[in-house]
Amino acid sequence: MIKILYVLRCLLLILSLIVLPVAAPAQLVIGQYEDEAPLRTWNSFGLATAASIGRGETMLAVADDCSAALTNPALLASLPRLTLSLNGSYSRSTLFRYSIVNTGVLASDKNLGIGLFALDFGGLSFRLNGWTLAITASLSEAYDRPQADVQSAYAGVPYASILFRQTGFLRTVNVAAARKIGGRLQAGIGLNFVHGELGREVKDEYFDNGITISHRIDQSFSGFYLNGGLLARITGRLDLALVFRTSYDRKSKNRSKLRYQAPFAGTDILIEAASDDLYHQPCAAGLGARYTLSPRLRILGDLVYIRWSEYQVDYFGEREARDFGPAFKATVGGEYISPVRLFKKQAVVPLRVGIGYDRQPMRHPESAYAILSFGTGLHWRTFGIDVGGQAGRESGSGRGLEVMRFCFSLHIRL
Amino acid sequence: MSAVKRSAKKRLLALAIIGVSCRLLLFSAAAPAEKKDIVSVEKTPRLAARLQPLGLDLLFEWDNKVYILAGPRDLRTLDRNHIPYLMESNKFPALTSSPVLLQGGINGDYHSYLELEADLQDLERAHPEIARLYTIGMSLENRKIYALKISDNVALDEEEAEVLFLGCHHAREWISVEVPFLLAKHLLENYASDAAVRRAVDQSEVWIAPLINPDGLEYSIRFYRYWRKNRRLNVDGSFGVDLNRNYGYNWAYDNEGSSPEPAAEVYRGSAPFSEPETRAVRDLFLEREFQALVTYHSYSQVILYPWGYTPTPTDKEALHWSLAADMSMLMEAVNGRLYGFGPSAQSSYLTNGDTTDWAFGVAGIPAYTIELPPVDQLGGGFFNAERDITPVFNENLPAALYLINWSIVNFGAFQAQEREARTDRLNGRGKVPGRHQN
Repeated sequence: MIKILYVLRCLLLILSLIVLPVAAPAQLVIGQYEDEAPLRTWNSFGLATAASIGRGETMLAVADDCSAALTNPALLASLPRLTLSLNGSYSRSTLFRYSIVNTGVLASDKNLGIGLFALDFGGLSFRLNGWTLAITASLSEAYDRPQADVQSAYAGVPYASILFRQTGFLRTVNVAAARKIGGRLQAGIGLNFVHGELGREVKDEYFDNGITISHRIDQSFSGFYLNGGLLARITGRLDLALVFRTSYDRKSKNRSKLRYQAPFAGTDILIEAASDDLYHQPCAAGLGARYTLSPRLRILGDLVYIRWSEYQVDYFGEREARDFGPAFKATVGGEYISPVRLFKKQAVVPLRVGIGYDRQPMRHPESAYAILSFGTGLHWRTFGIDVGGQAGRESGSGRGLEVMRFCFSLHIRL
Repeated sequence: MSAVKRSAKKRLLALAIIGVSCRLLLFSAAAPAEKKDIVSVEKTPRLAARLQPLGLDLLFEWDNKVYILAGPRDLRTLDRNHIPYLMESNKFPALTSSPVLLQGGINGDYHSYLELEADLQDLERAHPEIARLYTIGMSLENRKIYALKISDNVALDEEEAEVLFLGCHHAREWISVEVPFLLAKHLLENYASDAAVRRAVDQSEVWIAPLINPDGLEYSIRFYRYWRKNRRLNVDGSFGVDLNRNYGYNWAYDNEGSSPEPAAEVYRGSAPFSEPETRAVRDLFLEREFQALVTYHSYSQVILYPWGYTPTPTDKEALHWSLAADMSMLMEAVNGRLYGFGPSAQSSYLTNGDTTDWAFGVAGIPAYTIELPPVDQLGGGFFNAERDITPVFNENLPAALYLINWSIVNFGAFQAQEREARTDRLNGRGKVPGRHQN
């Protein structure tokens, strides 16, 4: 009975996480991309929590927590009977060219950065009659951009201003099931519901005649897709994983309000539009490997391929051009388990390190991030905390864009 | 008795309109891809016999007319069979886009590049005998710059007056796409029924390029409404060349009528005709022998003519003035809106490297910049309400027809010698008439 209440409380916590607004701008300097480009990388595949971040985002062949449901649900069968996980992160990205910034209207001579704090993952997994089930919610993508609010002045007197603002996110709610098949194979499948929004505003104001020109675009997204995976124990030391994510149509309800107001003359011109559009998201597949060198040391490697060439954008009834080709992300990481004693009990401190190469889908200019990661944690009895950080630098665009991310995870394992 | 009859007729017509509207709504829901119009054909025994085998979608008969639901292919069939018809779509609200439904482009009733491309292709398909769509060049971002030629025997290059209408050198001037496009539509759709239009089409070759700056227009729609220039990435990292300062006549005459600064709104580019968009216009001009040119801009409601680079009048000031005065009068008569007129440098501000100075400078033809409404910034500046598109076009239509007609009338007087001299000038040889010497 106590256990049931405990589980119910945990479920309540997870549900509240799902409905909370999870991203909040932490730092707003000026910065760049396509409007719908997720911050950091196009190649989001599930969500990396602190442990996998520490190993360079390797996560296809090892189950750190129930976030595995988003990448390889088969791993859920490796988890203890009941697990609860929360992940928070701070990420910072620099951008150069986005929307009206550095495309002709507002100019900057340096890259512009934006930071986001987010409680970006919460989930629960439990075992039932040989099946492991999980429900998780994650902030899978963020579309915020550095805000621009610029005033023009003549002889020290401001006469006009221009404002650019964009915020947005995509959340994924995943329900997954996994099972062991014999002694060497695990299989899992997940159903993912995505929903999110994107709001963009550009506003010109002319102070001397009171003229305001504003353009507000609001989009709301929804869709669903399947993901799944297999984990096979090839030898006592080597595990291999295969994963997939189906392509899907992310529906987008779009509304636009373009307005010209000159109150002194009574002029108010409004051009409105609404449209049901979609972003056709590509399918993805991945291969993961885990090799156990010793009981304390293991190395991992992941390769994820995303067929961005099938990506399509319909925006207010028109097909938008995106010159994208297939992209991939390759990561390698290692983990050393160091045993310690804490309050006279056995505990472990994992030490993690990893590197990654994240090729972006744009054909021109070619662009890729090289990523270095590190992480550690403390696992004590049923509790665990993990921290991980990564820093990446982009090459190809000539702007040397940077990304970094710090994560903090809490786990309960029963 | 006749009043009762009229009332019954009106009710019947209302019922027919409601019925057709319902049918069109159903039709729209089922197959939204092809745009259909309603046209009417005179109901005479001879025409009825010719209509019968064409397999058209006859809606109903009313007041000695047969109403037909017609797509581009059907209109082509009617043209091919020389069956005159009248466009009647405006009587059927279900056919016209309703702002209440709020469906469609982010720019409302205004054309985007893709919408314009589709509509121009539709016009050509629907009127193949009198319309031909040409790609006169490619923009920096590889969009096509279209020009629609409208003339009888459109495939032939006839000895006829040629007139050129241009639109949207400046991206934010959305209304300047609509007016030339609607002019093309009007000429094609009223060819069979309007004697003045028929004369214009039969006796001249009208060239209409409604969108000279497609890249800029797209940026203006997607990102920043007040974008003016094209999308050239300049050496200093700024974007855009002002296409209407990039023509080759007295280009860079001074730094007041254009700017050498890439970031400036009136940046003239690195060289005359440095931009593919202006080269497209130049190359069309070199191939043809235009007798008049109109380039639409906004705003300020004024008809401008050369010179723009200097306040000194041209040697054809009287002709320019007289044509502009007549056009202004015709325009005012439609909606009561007065379009001022005068030499560009005097009536507006100094400009060098603009379209009309170049067209007049090298070809000696009447060349007008028509700055469309509103009259000032407080009235909307570069914004026009969607409901103003049709009135603005309507008041510009008689001026356009007038200029075409003037070209036809004066075509005979356009001496071979003059043409030869002009060809020399276009090719960079010989003297330029009226050029201000400094």
